Amino acid sequence: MNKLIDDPRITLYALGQLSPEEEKELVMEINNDQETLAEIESIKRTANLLSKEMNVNAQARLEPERIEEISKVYAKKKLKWMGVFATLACSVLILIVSREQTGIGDQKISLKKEIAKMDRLEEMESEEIAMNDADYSAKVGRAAPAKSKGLAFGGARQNIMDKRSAEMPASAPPQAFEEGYNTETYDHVELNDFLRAIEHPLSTFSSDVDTASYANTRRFLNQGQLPPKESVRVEEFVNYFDYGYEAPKKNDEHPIRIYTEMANSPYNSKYKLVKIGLKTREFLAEKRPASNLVFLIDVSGSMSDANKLPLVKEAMKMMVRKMDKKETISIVVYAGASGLVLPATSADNVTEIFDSLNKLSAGGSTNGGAGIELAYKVAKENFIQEGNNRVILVTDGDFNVGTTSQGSLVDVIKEKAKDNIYLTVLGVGMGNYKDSTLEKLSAYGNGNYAYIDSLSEAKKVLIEDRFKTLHAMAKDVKIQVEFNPQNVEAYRLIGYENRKMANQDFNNDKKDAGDMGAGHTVTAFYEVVPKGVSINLPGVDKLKYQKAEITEAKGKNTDELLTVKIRYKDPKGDASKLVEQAVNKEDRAFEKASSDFKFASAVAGFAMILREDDKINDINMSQLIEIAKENKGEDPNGHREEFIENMSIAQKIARKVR
Amino acid sequence: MRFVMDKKTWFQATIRDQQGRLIRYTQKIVIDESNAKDVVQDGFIKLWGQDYPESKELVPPWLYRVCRNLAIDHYRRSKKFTTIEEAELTFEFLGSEEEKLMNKEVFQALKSLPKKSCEVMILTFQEGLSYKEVAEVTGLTVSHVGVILHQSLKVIKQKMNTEFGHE
Repeated sequence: MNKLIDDPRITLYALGQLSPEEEKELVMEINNDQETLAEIESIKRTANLLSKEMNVNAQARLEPERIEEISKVYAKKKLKWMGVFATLACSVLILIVSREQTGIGDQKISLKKEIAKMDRLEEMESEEIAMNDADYSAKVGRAAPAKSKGLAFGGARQNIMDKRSAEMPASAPPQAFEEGYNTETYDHVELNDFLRAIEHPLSTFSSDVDTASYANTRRFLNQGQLPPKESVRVEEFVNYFDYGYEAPKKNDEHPIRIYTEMANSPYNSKYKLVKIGLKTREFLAEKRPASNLVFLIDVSGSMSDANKLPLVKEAMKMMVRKMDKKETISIVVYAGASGLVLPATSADNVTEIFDSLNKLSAGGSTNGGAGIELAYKVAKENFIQEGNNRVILVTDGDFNVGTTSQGSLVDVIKEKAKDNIYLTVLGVGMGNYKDSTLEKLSAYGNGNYAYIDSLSEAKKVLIEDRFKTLHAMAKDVKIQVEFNPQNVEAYRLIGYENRKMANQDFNNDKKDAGDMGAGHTVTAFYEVVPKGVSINLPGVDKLKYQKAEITEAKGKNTDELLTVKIRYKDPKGDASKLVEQAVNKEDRAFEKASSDFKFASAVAGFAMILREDDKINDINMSQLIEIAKENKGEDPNGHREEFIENMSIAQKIARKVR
Repeated sequence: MRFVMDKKTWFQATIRDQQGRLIRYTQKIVIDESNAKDVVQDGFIKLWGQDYPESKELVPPWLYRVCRNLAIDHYRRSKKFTTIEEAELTFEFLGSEEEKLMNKEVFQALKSLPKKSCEVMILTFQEGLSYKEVAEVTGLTVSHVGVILHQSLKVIKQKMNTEFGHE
């Protein structure tokens, strides 16, 4: 008999709580004694059972009044804020009064100025996460993050929702304080404005297949809130849905095809709306290339909620069931420390994969950097030459421990993307969800980004759309539209604000852009002001030394409205290829447009209203809901039905807020 | 470029992440939920008074310890007990509705443990603290916690085995 059985150290050893030295010493003492080892195993089992059984929800929450009480500890700052709000409220009142005399245009501009001033103040005041990624801002044209929640909620959104009434901002300020308890971050984005075709004939942007913004909005709506306007990216709403584009055939020259359609704009009756759709080639499930997938899962304490780690586990199980030996799966976890939980394992080995998934539990803080390094290392070790190599990062994005800086994460990911290892970012959870960080990571990692708020969303991203999500078909897909000033007075790109590119970058193959998976679609809308329709845009004085006029005969005697140009690279290629298609002007009533066109325009319209876009004049929420309902189509997965529900929820919330 | 969390952001995140667990734990001592919330509220206010960022390293064991002491104070005041030992005896595994739904055998086995052991088990397996942190929270010595863990697991293991006829 040995006395180790009664030594508390074997329990601590079974719980993994001995220091490495103590562990080493104990292992020597055990000296492979079978009885002791069996005892340790059985302690482990009991401990696992206990952890599992005792891991009940801790749902109790302090009431807002208590939170208020606690927040008095930094009340000084808050009083100052009340001052700011009071001043602002006063100035808004004055504005409303003066509106009577000066007209609505002036008010809008002054109000904008006030908001801008607020933003700046917030920025200076805010000790929120400071991200001065100058390089990134310059490249993508984003301003530094600013939390301007004060006016956002009571603001223009309700106005448009209930068709323009003027007494808006009065109801706003109280929200701001409660918002202080929310540490979600979204970047501030300037909306695209109308541009004159003669001054800006080219419009260039990167493709974006992400859908996170829509799923994230749905989560807010389900909680009875409108989403923060910064979190709404119109293109991610539009791209959430499929619009029935036919995929390029196997023998087609390009794996990517352009679809265009135009009709009168539902948003502004005198304007036109042009829809540009891209679709990549699909492949049959049995012909898919082999995959080397490395899951990098955040298991820090913040991931313990039911809608985070447990949801991810279920989603992964669903996915693994759809896979076989063509897929190899590895799992890396990270929290305070990072580790390889499952070395590369063929996906038909279901029990082994499920076992390691079952063992995952959340605890500790997050050091994403080390985890990302390790995941890419594992991906490289198991690299499949002709296959699909991808790291799938699952996180709520709250990287808050260790030396992790967002910049160094981006650097690591940029570097690794060169090795033809792609990145998929799956965002989960709420509260401290870091949308801006995750979008950046995926943009730099040759990747895509989806937000998973429910098992059904997981099913869409990881099962229905898994080829789109996991298999790249075209890399660095850029879109450039040239407008013919002969037929176009002005235009604006709807959405894609943070995907805009410099015109010359279109032809520069060194410039990175969004990737598209197999069977992916990308849809973009341009609202076009036809020649002859007047629009009031801030312009420059007439040029003294040259005349801006249409010189090329080609532009003069043609019905062409615009030309769409696409550049893409093959997944492993370095040189881009060009696809082109012209769109002729057409006078077509909105009612005559295809049902997909109409549904898509309802989606974009909804997103723009949530975004507080003030350039919608001739349609309101109720009408958009009608359009969506009438053009639901077959809707085999129920996504469109759900969308219509979400529109109604948003409308109800907006009314209640007022 | 830096990715820094300031004190307020951290503090708010800590409240958000920890409140549920702290209330659940404190309630085992003070029984009443609103009393538990009073305690947790005070605990957070004390947390703000700590030096930052050093306080980052202390949480969560620090919060558990502070809430525990506040809870015991509270309990003592309400019951007019005089010594901590008496108050400590009140530590009850009565639990929330969810806790009552857990596996009956596990629940009974835990309930049969001495109060002190029960608390150590809760802090270890429910709150996820290490044995060193448990010692810090409860004021027991590190080796004492080790012994309690070892013995309690043994008891529970035996109970489970006899009741299920496992192994």
